[in-house]
Amino acid sequence: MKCSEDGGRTALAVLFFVALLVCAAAPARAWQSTASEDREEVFEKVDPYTRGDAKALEKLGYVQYGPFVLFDKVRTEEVEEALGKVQLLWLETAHFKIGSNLRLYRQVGDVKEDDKLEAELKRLKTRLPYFARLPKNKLDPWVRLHLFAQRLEDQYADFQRRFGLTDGPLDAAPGKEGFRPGEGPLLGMQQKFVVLLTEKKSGSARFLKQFLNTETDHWQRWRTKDGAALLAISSEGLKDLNFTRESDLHATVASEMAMNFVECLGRGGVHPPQWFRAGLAHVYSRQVDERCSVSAVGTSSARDDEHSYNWPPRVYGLVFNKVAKPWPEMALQTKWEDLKAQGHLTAWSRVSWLLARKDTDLNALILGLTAPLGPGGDAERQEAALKAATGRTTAEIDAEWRKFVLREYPKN
Amino acid sequence: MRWDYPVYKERVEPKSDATTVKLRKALPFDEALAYVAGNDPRPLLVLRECKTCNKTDNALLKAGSSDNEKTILYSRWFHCVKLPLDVIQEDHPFNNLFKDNDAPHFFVATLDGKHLLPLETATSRSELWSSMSKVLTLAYKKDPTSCFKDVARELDRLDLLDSKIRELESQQNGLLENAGKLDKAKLKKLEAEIAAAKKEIEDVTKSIERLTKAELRPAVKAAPAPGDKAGV
Repeated sequence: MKCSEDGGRTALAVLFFVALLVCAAAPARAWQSTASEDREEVFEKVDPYTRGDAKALEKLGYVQYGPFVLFDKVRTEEVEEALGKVQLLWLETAHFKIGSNLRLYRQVGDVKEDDKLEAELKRLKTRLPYFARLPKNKLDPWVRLHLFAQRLEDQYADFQRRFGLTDGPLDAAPGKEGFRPGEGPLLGMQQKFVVLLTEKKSGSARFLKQFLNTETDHWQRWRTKDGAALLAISSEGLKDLNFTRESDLHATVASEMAMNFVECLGRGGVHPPQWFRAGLAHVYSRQVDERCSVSAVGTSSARDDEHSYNWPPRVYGLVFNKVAKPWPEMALQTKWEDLKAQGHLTAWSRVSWLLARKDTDLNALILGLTAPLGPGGDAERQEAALKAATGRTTAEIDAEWRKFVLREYPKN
Repeated sequence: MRWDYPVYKERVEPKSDATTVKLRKALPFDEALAYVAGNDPRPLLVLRECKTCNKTDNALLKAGSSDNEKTILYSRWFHCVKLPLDVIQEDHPFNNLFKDNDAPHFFVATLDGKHLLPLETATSRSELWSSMSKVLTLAYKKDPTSCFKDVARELDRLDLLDSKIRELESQQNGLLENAGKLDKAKLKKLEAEIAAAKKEIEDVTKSIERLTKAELRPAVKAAPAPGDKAGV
């Protein structure tokens, strides 16, 4: 996990986060965070932008507001109770069940973020009947929920379009043996994707502990044996790492969902290779805001440092200097800590290049990379996937990528 | 600070396929305390989240204050627990720890609850440390806080090492990522320096571990919590 260096005494982190410090990436401000202002915000019970109107919901592509069954047999009311009877806004869309208690967000005059939000709100506005109520330069909890619904469905659609995938029949029950990973109708899952967005870390932590028996200080993806895929993330967790913008939260959710989507497609529950997951996560995250590099550990030493987040010239340097790990070598890497900054840059570049490459059969690529492992292991699986998608061997594709980088990327 | 968020798994009595009856009720004080303690043998620092004021997360730490270092170090010897907003409701399993909204916002206590010191945000730092210290003295064989100055010195070293590694890694990235500027000898030297600094961090970390190691008094142990303890 990438952390920032501004402010605070980083060494304090060793008292609790030794492993992170060793990576020279301690959550510097965690001990003096003002992230969690504890006054609870009271949300309007009825969505002021649709007023619960059935036609408005249909136009937005929504199925329903809560309460409903969130996943497996867990209902939204149970989640509210586990979190301390806090108020959460619940929304079911075509492919997601979203819960949120994100508070009012005040825009901070960040031009890039303001432009992004303006474009998003412009699209949302055309579909919301009572949008005139929207306050200026603020995102209230309902608007944040609508925005995340739009973002998540956009990403889902984009993912399917890129890779030539479609939903299976939603009412198809799993066979006698129960749900088989990677074979459900929604990107391999049986149930809709669950995204829980909480303001405080305690919200996500209690949810994960109560319903999934897992603990984390930050955020977590999870899959259940009955075919639900979940993400629980808090705004406070990101603020502790000095990522305070709405776009930081969006970029991190985009990164996590990209990982979730490809992992869920893994037939037999086997993950696709690390480089592909990392690279795709960075592609989606950087589409939102390239300044948010929280998932690209070690690539940035300070927030908003343009040199750090301008990756193409850095990749150019790696290729020119012949220090970018050869593709076949990277293909066998499995430990996240081995990826390092240069590994993240390289994985991002290779995946974004493959996605944009004219003659790549992306459907063949994703089906190949998420296929069950054969006797030849992952190396054989990847070789076959790249051959099916590009007609080339891994070594040949590596050479082609290197030529592309030296031809197209700016020199630093 | 590293918080634990204990959740109470209710015993649910199935009534029919469609409905269940929930038996939520407050546990007696001792049981509630034992439940939130779980299997952690350290004394407790228990904090409640609050709906109407701003006294929780910053109750212990003051933004930008150098005093935080001491508070964080002291908290290391506690099992720090955060309870949800509705703990003040009388049917909440842990309600006997915080009866109502007039209850203090946090307390430090020995594991058996016999020594419990309520605290508030407004509590002065010296009073906070004094209360923490009192409980620590009761819970551990020897007051562990006496190592504070030594630990602070080690933390200073860590700060320096941390900056050094960042600087070295920045130089390393520069060499690797700037076209035509790869100096293999220099890169090798940097790698060696980074490895040495990391080793030094390991050593300092071990030293902190050694300095802060404290042995609990055997008498102060958690009473076994009743019922299902999953999730704690």
